[in-house]
Amino acid sequence: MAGIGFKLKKMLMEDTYSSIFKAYLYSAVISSGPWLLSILSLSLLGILSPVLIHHQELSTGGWDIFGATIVYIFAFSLITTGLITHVISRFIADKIYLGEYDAIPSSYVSLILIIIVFQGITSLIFFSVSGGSFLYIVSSVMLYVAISCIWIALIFLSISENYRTIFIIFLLGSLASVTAALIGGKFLGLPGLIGGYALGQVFIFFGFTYDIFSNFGIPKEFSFGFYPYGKKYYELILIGFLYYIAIWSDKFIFWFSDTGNNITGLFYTFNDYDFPLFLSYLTIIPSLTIFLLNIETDFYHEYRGFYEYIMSKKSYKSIHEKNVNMQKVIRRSLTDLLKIQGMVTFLVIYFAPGILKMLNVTSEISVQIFRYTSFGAFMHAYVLIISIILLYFDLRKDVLVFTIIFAFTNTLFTFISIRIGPDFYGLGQATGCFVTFIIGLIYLKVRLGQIEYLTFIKQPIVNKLNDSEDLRARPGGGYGKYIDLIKARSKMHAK
Amino acid sequence: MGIGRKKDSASPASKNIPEADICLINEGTYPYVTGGVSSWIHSIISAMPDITFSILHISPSNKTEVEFRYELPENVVSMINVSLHDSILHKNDTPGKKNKKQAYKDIIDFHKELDGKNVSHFRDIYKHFCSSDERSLNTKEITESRDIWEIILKMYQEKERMNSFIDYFWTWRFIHLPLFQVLNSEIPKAKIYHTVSTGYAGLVGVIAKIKYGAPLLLTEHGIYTKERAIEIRRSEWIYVDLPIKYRPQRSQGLFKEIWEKFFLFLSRLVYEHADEIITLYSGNQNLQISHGADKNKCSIIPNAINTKVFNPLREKIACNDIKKVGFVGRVVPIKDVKTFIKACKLVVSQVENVEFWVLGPIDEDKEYVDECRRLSELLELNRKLKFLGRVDVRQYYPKLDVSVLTSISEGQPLTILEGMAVGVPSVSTNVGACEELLYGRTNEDKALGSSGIITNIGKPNETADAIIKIITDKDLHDQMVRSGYKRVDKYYREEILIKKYKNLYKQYALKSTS
Repeated sequence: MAGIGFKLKKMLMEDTYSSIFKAYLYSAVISSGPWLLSILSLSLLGILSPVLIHHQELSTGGWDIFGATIVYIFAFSLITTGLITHVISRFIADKIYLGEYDAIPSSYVSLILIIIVFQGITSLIFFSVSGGSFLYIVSSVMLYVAISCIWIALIFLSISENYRTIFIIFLLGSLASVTAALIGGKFLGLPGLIGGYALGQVFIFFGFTYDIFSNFGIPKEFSFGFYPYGKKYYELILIGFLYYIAIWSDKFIFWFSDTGNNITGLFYTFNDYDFPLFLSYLTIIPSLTIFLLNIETDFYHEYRGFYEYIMSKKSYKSIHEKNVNMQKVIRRSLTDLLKIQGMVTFLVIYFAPGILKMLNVTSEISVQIFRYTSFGAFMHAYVLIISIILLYFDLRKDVLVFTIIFAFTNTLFTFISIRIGPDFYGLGQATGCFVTFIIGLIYLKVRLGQIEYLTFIKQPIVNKLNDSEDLRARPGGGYGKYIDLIKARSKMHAK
Repeated sequence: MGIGRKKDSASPASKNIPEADICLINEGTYPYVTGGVSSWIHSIISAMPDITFSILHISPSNKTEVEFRYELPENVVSMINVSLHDSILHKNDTPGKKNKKQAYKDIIDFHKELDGKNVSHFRDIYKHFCSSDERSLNTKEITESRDIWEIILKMYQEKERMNSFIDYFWTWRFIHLPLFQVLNSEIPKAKIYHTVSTGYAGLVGVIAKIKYGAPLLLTEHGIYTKERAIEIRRSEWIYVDLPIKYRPQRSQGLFKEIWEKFFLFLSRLVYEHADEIITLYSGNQNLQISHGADKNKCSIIPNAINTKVFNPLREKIACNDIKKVGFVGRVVPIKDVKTFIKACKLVVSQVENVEFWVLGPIDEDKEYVDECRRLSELLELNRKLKFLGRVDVRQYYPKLDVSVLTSISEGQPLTILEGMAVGVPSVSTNVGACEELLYGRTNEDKALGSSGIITNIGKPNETADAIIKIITDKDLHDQMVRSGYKRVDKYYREEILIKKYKNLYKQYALKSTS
């Protein structure tokens, strides 16, 4: 993330309208681009396919299976790759800091290899158990593996600063996905739709891989140097995993409760919930983008300054001033978000029936869920931002606790909401996110107040020994090493 | 090698460490490092077989096992090694934790008083951190707590100087972490505590005195504060926060000042608590007094030599056709061997038939040795000046006509005493006790006559003149030999030193038991 910040700041410095716009756009690409484009391409597919495709299989429930398959693939690929995203980010950042660029492409291919094997086998088992035609299974596995690989590639790309290339590849790939899906669907039905979509994603993956190699060189060997990082930064593994569990837990609960509809095999959905929820997350994309831009530029600048001041032997007064500035930027960004997103969310909640009507959704319950989850998404944005800020200060244990709280509250309140009744559908997610947000705000306030203390006091002490009875001269006595004189004397005599 | 040792092999068999008459506390010397202080300790212990000793040695780390360089006499009953830089964040019990707030307050007061040179608040510190019955804070808390952070900040801000905060913080840590180790160390029970320096060893002595109410004796060979100050000034790891233009001034930056002040505090603390403050010669005594030692507690017991070893060598002096000039000492910068070499050149230009021997280790500072050799070649002395390395000096003293010392710093060099015992006059720079040794300290001593010539530091021509005087004037030479004999016999025999310390031990042991 650090690398991006610099470039963005530079772009903002140019201070022309077009460059600001460019900066916003690139920030959008980095933060939510893949997400947005995926949803856009799927929507495009949804609009075009009924017009262009007249396939028997699709009109008799195939379309629902396609939707459920895509959602499952996104959910599980995010959760499983979430296990390693943070650790890999950290690994790459360290390698770049150390100037060991060779390790980057070789780690990339090694990781991709592991992902292909692992995701290939697990998804093959899943889709086989769930059932379907051979072609359907093969194309689904292909899509699952391709999307998993894209998530990994994006971690490596986030440091390359070739946002234009990333964007172009993604755009072309999405278009290819839509086109190939339409053609495949026309001739082969459901497997063709998925397979075609997968082809476009494979294209994106190859494009990204090409971009990584042209940035960091062709890999010369396999390298598993990231393995020890998993042990060292186990919190990051849990954070990544639990974050996506938290995001998906409410959906899972709805799917696998009485509310869920079995589409086919292992696939369950609850359209009245799923669609409003995805829609509500779209409403926070603009402000999330603005915020991430703020964080990556203004905040990062102050943050760097703070640590630079410490390292360059500045007085406490100057360091403290930097810290105050840094905290000001954080507060300002959070309040800006409250204003902008607060307004957007308010409008969305107010006009919810109209918005849904435009999208051909008229059910009363969907409107209610959309209102609740829009507020929830707003809170979720804050939760994400608080995590990012805490991670900047390397407060991994805090973020882990915080993420556990997030997963727990979202699960708990969704569960309760289902028990109480349909009037409360959606309120569970909203409450979960809100409670997590409040706890996060407290966390942030406390930790920011301690930043100077933590930064200094937690500096590692060289030659530190853990206290133990062995370090005492006698049981329960003071510290020191008791020298056995009989032994020492006989040793002298031996010489 | 790690600290992991088998419990049964190193812990005392019983829960208690045997009590000794005297606990000797030293820092980085006996029995691990050879040298003046170590051989002094060794001879005292060896000469008093009827008195039991325990050794408390303070070392940088306990992680590696270091071999003994002395065989501990049988009257040493126990030994403990306390490490300074293995930072243990002691999680000791804190029975007085209700006094935590007071403890932090006392820390602030204690540091405030330090500027006014008042060390009386140390008893509060002892109560809060050392006493196992009243301890209110453990090391983990005084290293990592929020309160201590506030205190560090407050102390920094009171300095009212725009200084590097990170260096302030680390200075604070570097100073305090070793202190915490010492404050928590095991001190074996003894009737009398005898520390051979101030500093950390002295601090252990002070804690022992407060804890057990036993008398504390201090013998300082070199003045700790002065030795540390030289190290601090030379050190490159302490940040100097002055603009270049201020460099020629006296001040050397806040952080070096803090370190010097810290060691001065330790000395003052030990002087305050010690019952006897002993050193080797009057120059050192003056320094002790200027650092806060009470004149009435101060006394001088000089280093001595074993005359049984050296006196018999008097017989073997051979009359040489070729005059032999000896330099007994390690070839290191502090001995300023280069001035000696330059002096040799001057001697050669005026006296024929003269040879120069450098008798001492040449492996401690290889670079400096090379420089010396090159200088000798440059001055075309290579045939006459020999680096003989580490030798048994007893075989060489009888052959010497004069022994030379050009050091820029010395305590009470034994080589002058040894020379005097064997009958070798010395030429020495005016450092440490050299003048007292050659010209006499008291009037009675001075009446014995001179046993050598004192010169100024870094003056090859003065050194050369003195050498020439002694090797060309036989009457002068013989007078100096005679004066030397008398002086050693009267003041610098080991028996005298042992007797003085034995008397001190007896006197204080009686006090402590009564």
